[in-house]
Amino acid sequence: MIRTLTQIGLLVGKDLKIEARGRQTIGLVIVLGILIIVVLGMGLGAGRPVEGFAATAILWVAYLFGGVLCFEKTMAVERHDEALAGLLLAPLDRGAIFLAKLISNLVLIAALALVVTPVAILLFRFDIQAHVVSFVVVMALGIVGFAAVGTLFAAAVSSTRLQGGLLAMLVFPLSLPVVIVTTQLMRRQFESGEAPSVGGLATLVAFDLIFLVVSWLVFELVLEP
Amino acid sequence: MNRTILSWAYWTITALLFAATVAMLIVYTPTERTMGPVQKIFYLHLPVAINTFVACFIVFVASIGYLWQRTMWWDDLASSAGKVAALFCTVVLLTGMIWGRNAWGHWWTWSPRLTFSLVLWLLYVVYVLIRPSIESPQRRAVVSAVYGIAAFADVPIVYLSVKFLPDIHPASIALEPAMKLTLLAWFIPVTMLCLGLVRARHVLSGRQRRLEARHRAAVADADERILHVAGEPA
Amino acid sequence: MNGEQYLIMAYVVGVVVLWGYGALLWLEARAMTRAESNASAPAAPAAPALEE
Repeated sequence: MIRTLTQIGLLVGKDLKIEARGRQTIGLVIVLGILIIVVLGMGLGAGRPVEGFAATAILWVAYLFGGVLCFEKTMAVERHDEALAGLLLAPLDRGAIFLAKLISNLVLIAALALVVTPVAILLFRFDIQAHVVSFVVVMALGIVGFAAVGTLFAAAVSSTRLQGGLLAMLVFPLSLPVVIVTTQLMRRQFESGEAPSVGGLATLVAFDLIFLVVSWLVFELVLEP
Repeated sequence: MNRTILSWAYWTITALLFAATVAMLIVYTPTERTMGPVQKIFYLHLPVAINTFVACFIVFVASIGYLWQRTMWWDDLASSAGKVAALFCTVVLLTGMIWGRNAWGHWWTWSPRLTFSLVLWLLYVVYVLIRPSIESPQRRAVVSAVYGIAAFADVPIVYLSVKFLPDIHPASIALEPAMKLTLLAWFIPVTMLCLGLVRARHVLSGRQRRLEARHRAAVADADERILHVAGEPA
Repeated sequence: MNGEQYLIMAYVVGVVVLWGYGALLWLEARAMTRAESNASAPAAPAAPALEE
């Protein structure tokens, strides 16, 4: 158990160091997120205030596309210099590789969210302040499930030629229930002040657990040098 | 050939039963009082919806089968069932929309039932469409199998998630005995159609695979002869 | 458009999509049978021509 955790720690450290040196992925992802917010802002928000609960949907679009880019890039790292072959030859628990990639992805998406959310609040004049805690909790639960699915399929398609579009096509339909639940929970909160229901949170947790387990179990089968 | 006769018999029976149940709808089935004639879409809509799940389940089982045994037979079954699932889901979606248009005036609402059909449709249409994008047959089979398992695992969550959408038009239908009989009757040709299409597509895939193998063997054979003629050791 | 017309529309859609796919598969199966019998015809004639 401790060994696995150490392995995960090392792998995450490696990925984050590579990222910190190049700062390539995080830059691309943040700019993409901001572009999406700006496009939607000009279309929806110019000249009229946008409702609070629309924030969730607009931010999801930014997180979804930014997220897919993150997933793609963290797997792409392993394609240089036969890195993946090296990884597979090492005495590593395959599940550990999955969890490490997942954590790297979550770190990147968190960075994306930290930059893009304030930008959206600024451009759209969202009044999230009233419900920050619910927003953060609900979106965090959603993003964890989304990242689990994304990490799995990024590995699955990393050796194919068309990764980006293909990855988005695979991950979006599977993640739709998360988008539905989170946007509806936030809609209720912004419209009537109703806190996220236990049922709603339970559905999100169920999604997260199912896909964390399935991805963790199946990850080994999709890795290919 | 015995198989061809069986095949012809199966499809003739299916077609006849289908025609018979349509006739049943026209002469026998009573019209529902509050919703009018359009309610009869239900007798097609529900059996097709149930069979969509059957097809999705076959995809799930075949995906596991592939990952376990790694034979293309399983992959062919999964892809065949996937196509039928997408096809049947298209009918569920379209009949649901037509019913909604008449009953509530709109082709689309984000009601739980319609949204559920839409998400299911997207899940399996993607399954069918991404396959050709992956060139290596083994890779394609693995990715499809993982997706096939994930998609089926997603279905209960999608079902739970759409309950959070506002249900503006709850529709509960009380069925008279004659209606129940019609519904049961409709299940037979629709299920036969579903299973028959999955099998037909599966058999076709198998034949395609064997034909390609023969072509490759013939090409390899011809190559060998060219080398032999040119004086190279075969 | 009244209820009955929508009803007919729905059933036409159902029949066309479901049985249409069946018809498509049937046509592909026929093409397959032809391709299979072509492949069975000996490909040997190509080889002697190369022996010149």
